[in-house]
Amino acid sequence: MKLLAKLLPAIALVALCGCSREVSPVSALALDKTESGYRLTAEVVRQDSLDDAASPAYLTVSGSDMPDLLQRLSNLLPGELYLSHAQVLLLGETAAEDSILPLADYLCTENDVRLSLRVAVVRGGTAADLMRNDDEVYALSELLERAAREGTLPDMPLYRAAEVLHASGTAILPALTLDEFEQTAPAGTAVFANSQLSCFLDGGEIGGGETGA
Amino acid sequence: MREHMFARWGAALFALLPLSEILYIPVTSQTVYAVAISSLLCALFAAGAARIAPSWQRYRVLQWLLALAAVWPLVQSLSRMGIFLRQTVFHTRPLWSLLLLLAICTLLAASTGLNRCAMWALPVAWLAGAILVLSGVLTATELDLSYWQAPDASLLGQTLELMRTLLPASIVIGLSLPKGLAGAASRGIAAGGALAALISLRTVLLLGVHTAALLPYPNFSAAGLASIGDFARHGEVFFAVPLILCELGRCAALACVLLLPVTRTYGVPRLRRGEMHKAKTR
Repeated sequence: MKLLAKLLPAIALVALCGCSREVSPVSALALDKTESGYRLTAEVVRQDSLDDAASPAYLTVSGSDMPDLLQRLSNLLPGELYLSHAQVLLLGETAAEDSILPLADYLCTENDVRLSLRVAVVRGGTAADLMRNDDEVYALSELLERAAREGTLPDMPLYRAAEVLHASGTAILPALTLDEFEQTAPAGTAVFANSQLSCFLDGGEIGGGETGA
Repeated sequence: MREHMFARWGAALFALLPLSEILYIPVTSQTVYAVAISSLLCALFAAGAARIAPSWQRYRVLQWLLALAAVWPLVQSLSRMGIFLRQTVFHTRPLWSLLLLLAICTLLAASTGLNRCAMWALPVAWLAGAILVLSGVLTATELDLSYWQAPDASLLGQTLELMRTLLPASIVIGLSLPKGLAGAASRGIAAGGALAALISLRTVLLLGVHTAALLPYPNFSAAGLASIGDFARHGEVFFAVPLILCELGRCAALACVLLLPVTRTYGVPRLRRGEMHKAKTR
């Protein structure tokens, strides 16, 4: 047993040294539909400046579905893709017109993705453009959290959205848009029927931009 | 040479058994009932086993049978713990290295004997209980009571499934106890089972039945939603660590039972020279 006790630190070192791998934390994701499939843009947190301040970097990949997109994104990154810090997933209107149930299921079962991830639909523009608009890391998640707390946008984290989509196929998600000052602003509520984007609660039509939310 | 096992140590050791199931229980609307029923049944069986333990331990053949019976729950515990660690934390490490590490930890803990394992079970059980309560409290405002469902026919299947994992370990450890710990065994399993049932109920009311069904480790994932502001956002880590310790305690107790026929010292494989000398001079 004494021999075992002596060997234990060495074995633990060998078994657990994988923890020290460099990671590339992702703070937000934006999914848009293209003619050939989907385009995923990831906001990666960089902390390589001299003052150690976090700044975003954007990486874009194209693919057929979410697992494929995340695999391609992982291949692109210098470190290990780390999704545990991702707090927002933006969906373009055209991407949300497809059934989002498989996407919600995949994200729930993906170990790294947090169930508190907030999903929002972007009106009148691409999700990638809205995400790139703000150069502050976690600004979008703070906006969505604050709006949910104040009741101006639905409070629908991933786990709650997946539950209602499975239960009835009907769900509501917060909508965001770029206003006339090019600022990110709440844009009402996106309504999903049969897991597909059906309309916006302020009466706006899909693809019609914001109509006075 | 036998040391004395206090009743509260024995109760804590048995509380680890249902607590160590928490990470792996598939959560449905019936889980709360299934955990409660299976824990109560296992508490009864464990108390019965503890009552007949002194006469059981008199026969060498029965001790060997008990040791053999400990192999299956021990292997099951180690393998599910290894798979859990690989799927959640150590994605890149080979499974065998994790299993080897866990087996060595188990053997080291078991080499101290069943009494010491039970003694250490007490702080571990309290720690796990406190973390579970804290995790439940932090998510209390997010719970949705509309997810609560009455018992239905699927309850029986899930109860049997839980009994399949909980009962063998309860009986095996129950049959290895010293005299007079039957009450402690049943109290421990009942208390651990109550906590496991409540935390499963929290998971259902928090995530909903459909989302919980999607997740490989629903209780663990639900604990990730418990946070204190921006601090401690990864609540699942604080949740899983004491439960892994519970599982290691369970493995160590089972390993003690496995070693029991060959050690003659109540699970302590080898006495130190000083202790050996004292034992001879008595």
